[in-house]
Amino acid sequence: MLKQMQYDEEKNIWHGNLFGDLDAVDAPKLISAIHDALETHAATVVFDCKQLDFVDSMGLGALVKMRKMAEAKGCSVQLLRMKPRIHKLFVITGLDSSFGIEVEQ
Amino acid sequence: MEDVVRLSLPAKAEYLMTARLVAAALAGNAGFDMEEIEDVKTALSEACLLLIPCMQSPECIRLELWIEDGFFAKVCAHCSPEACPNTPERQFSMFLLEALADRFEFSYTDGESEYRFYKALPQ
Repeated sequence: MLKQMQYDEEKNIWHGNLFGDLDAVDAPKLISAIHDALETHAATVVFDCKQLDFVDSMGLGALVKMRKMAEAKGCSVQLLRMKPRIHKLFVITGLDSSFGIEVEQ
Repeated sequence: MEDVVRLSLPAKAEYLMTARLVAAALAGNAGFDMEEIEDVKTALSEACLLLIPCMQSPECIRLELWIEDGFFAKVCAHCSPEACPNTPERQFSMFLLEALADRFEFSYTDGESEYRFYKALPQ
């Protein structure tokens, strides 16, 4: 799920950490948190995914929705330090090119 | 069929983590590597997510998991395919399940919808 979002005013970036499982339970909470953040400051969203262990279709769907919300405000989403086994799901579904993704080596 | 692990879970997303943990333990003991264990966990979640929205009463979803020459899962519930909304989320779940499993089947008999999938053991 998502640890608290922090806004970097100087760089105009929202920072957050995704951890554990991003599934059908947590997907709506993530969408709600991003919606609230972007309403406060329209800014690039950067997530550290180092501690993200599992994503299912609902989690992927939430990330797509989040990306669309950001793009509607002229912003982008970056997913950093993603585990290769989670990145694999983005590749399978063709979503890898839709996000700025940095895979952990 | 060897030993079968049977689970009966409330048809709520909150309980899918329990199913995933059991599946991961079984797959790990059988010799699947980390990436393949994740495939099994995701496939099992998707099979459950294909059934849960179709269930109209608060019934349980039933799972049978076992190992032979690979990981076998059977996920079933009392619901009709006609009750399943053909949403983009459902299509996405189906796509992932088909992509991650080596074999995937659906059947509907006597009011029971059932998804089965198989993931081969690594060579």
